[in-house]
Amino acid sequence: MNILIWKIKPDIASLNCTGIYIDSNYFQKNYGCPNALGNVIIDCEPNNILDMASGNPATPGDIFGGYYTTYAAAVDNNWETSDYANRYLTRYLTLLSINKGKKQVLYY
Amino acid sequence: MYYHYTHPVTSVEFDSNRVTISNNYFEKNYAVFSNGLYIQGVMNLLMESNTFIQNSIGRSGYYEGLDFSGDAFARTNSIPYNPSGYTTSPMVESSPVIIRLGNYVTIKNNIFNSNIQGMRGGDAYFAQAITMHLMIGKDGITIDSCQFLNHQGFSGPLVNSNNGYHDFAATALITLNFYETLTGRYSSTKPGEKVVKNNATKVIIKNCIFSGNKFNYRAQSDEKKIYFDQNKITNSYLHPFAAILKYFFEAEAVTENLAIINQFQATDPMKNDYNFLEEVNIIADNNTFHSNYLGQSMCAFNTYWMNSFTISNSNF
Repeated sequence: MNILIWKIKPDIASLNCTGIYIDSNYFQKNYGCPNALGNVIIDCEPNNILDMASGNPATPGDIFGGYYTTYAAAVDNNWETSDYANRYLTRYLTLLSINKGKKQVLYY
Repeated sequence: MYYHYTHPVTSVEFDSNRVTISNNYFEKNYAVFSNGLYIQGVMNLLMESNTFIQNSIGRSGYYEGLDFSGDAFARTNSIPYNPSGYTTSPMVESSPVIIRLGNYVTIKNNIFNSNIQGMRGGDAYFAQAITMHLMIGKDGITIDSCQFLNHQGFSGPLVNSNNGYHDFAATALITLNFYETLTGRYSSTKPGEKVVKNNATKVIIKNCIFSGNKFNYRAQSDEKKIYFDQNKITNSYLHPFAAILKYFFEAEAVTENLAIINQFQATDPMKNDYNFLEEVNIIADNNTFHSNYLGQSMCAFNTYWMNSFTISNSNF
């Protein structure tokens, strides 16, 4: 493996997986050891917290799922977020919107 | 909006509010899982003007060739990696580009040439060129002005169909799935039933060239056909092979993450987690399909999962 950038934070918003710039490199004939898993890896994971229900380590998919489900529920309710929004939702949408260069779409 | 940043030491300028991978060259790199780029959790990704050529899994035959006469394996007489030596069915596939849990992805002006996904290991969701897993469908995916060339599997003395080393590409060039627990778009209480039908995610493949690729399908048990049946999704062991773009369901994929590398195993091919599907509009525009070979029972795109599929201005 040549490059590993591995960032872990409790949630997606604080992960803020940006500001990485890999340009004009030459990766050739890297054979790896047996079972080598990668070459250049950028891995941002919101998984250093325990699952609130089970107490087991949460997986990235679980964390993403929590945000995403909330987001989708808010969309379905015409952005009436009283039943669904949590303190992370606005931050998550802010992150997505900023990254795309749009204005934030939801405030509460 | 471009967030301009100049590094205080190197004076390199880039957009600080996204991840940019540009002008890199990946050739003959071998690894299980990802032989080029693995990118997870990025909400704004630009891949521009990279080249991926002849990347694959490690395989004993590679190390016996002239290309590797001076490598570390030869000098140390180490035993090269040989997937056939495994008994616990680890992954034996690799993709030049794997993007996982990503959003707003632009892949532009990249060249994929003669990469080999690996041997027959059952993980048909691993692409010859670009594997996108658990994507977040908020802002879509654009693949623009890329070239996908000469993916034909192993060649010459490396071919051994009994061991899964085929002289054809056994999976699609691009594979894709989205985060399926998007309850706003499919009901969690009525599996398979759509709740809303708007704001579909766009996947755009435009101005690309697909040329000189040779496809065929795998052994029967390797591909899982998944279809709708009375608002449920079930499966059979037929061959829904797609050469250019394949959508895969989560149960086809690995669920483990990179942090627990010893647990890379394909999951049970059929779990009851198909209740949620993404609304996705596929737009394929101004692409060139030239001199590709598609084997039995195959198509370029599998369309049964799409909300809509538009193909226009193509040159066959």
